[in-house]
Amino acid sequence: MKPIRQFFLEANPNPERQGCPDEKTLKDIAENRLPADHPARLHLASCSPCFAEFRSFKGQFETKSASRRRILAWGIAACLLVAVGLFRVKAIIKKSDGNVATSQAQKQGAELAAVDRTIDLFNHGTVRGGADPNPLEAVSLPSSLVHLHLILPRFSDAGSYVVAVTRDRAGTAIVARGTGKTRGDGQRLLLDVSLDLRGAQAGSYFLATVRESDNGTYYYPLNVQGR
Amino acid sequence: MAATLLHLVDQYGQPVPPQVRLAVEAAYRWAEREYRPFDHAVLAAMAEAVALAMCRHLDGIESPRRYAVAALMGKLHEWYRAHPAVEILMDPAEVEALPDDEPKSISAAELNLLFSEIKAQLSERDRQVLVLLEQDLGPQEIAKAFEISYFAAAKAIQRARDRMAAILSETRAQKGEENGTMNRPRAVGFKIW
Repeated sequence: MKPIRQFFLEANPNPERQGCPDEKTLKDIAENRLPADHPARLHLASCSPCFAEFRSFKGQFETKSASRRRILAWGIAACLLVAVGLFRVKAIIKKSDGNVATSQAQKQGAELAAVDRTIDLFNHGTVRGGADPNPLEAVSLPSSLVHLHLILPRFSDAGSYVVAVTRDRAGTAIVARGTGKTRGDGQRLLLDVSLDLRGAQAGSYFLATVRESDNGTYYYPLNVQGR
Repeated sequence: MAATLLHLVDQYGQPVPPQVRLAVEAAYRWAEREYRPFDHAVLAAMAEAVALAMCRHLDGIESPRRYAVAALMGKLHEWYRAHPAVEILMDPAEVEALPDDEPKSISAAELNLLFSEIKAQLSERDRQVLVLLEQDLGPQEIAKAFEISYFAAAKAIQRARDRMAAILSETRAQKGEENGTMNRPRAVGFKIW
């Protein structure tokens, strides 16, 4: 202990506590809330019990201040941590949003990208008399946007055709539909149509062709494969 | 924490009232801080005795905290009077081995000598300046307290400090001469409790 502090603490006994300020005043001095010229401040130089009380309050105040500072420091550190954490989370979310957007765009792009397919019906002409055409083997289309190059059956007439994908031969449940004009390729007639099969579920369908000026519709079995 | 060390009960073995407990714990913490080398167990026993006494006279106690601090301080002084310092011989190596922050206690006689020197050599104004410094006031506040200029306050602070330093160096020199420590292996006055 500093000698002068020990002096103030022990050298001025005042057992009767004459002229002593009240506890609150001593506490205010310890917490430096009183003006510098307050008479109670000088009283401590001549009263050991008051000086002891003052030291007690001062110690308590310093402990409280230290713990308050510690709490404040921890609070600031916690806030910083939370802020850094939020920033990181935001950055991660932003990044993943970007990734999702990119993947969605890619997906949409993939969906929008048309698939070229060719179906050759040249040797699968329907027989007069209502008999079924020769069964098609392995004719299938994916469930996406399809640019179909259709080679029409032998002896087909040139002109505008409607091509549809239907669930049945009645032609009521149309899944996709497209129109196109034939073009000649030697003996063959080629027809280019776009069919949107993105909404079609995998399964068995019919590919229907009809020349616009004709009433007769020809159906060919078709498999739609999932993506 | 003081609260965990102290066993504060009244004469019937019941826990003391909250105001007594708070007052005694505050006084105990203060004494623990001010009288650092003091044995904590002895200090705790004193605090418990103070709490017991307070419970007996609770009706007559106007301010429990003030009572607790005064009573504990009184008990400490009483203890110091009853336990005079014991001189032990230590080799210089042992003295060097002592930690620097270990307070070197001085005997009651030396303390009295120091206090009388302070009273004799420090004026009332010097003591007031020093007590204001203990309150963490600076030259500006001290100037306001004494209604003097800043320069005069700074001068007063410097003078009080110089005088205090002179008193301490004189006291140490006297102590050294008395012990004859100049040319012989040192015998250090060390208070053991």
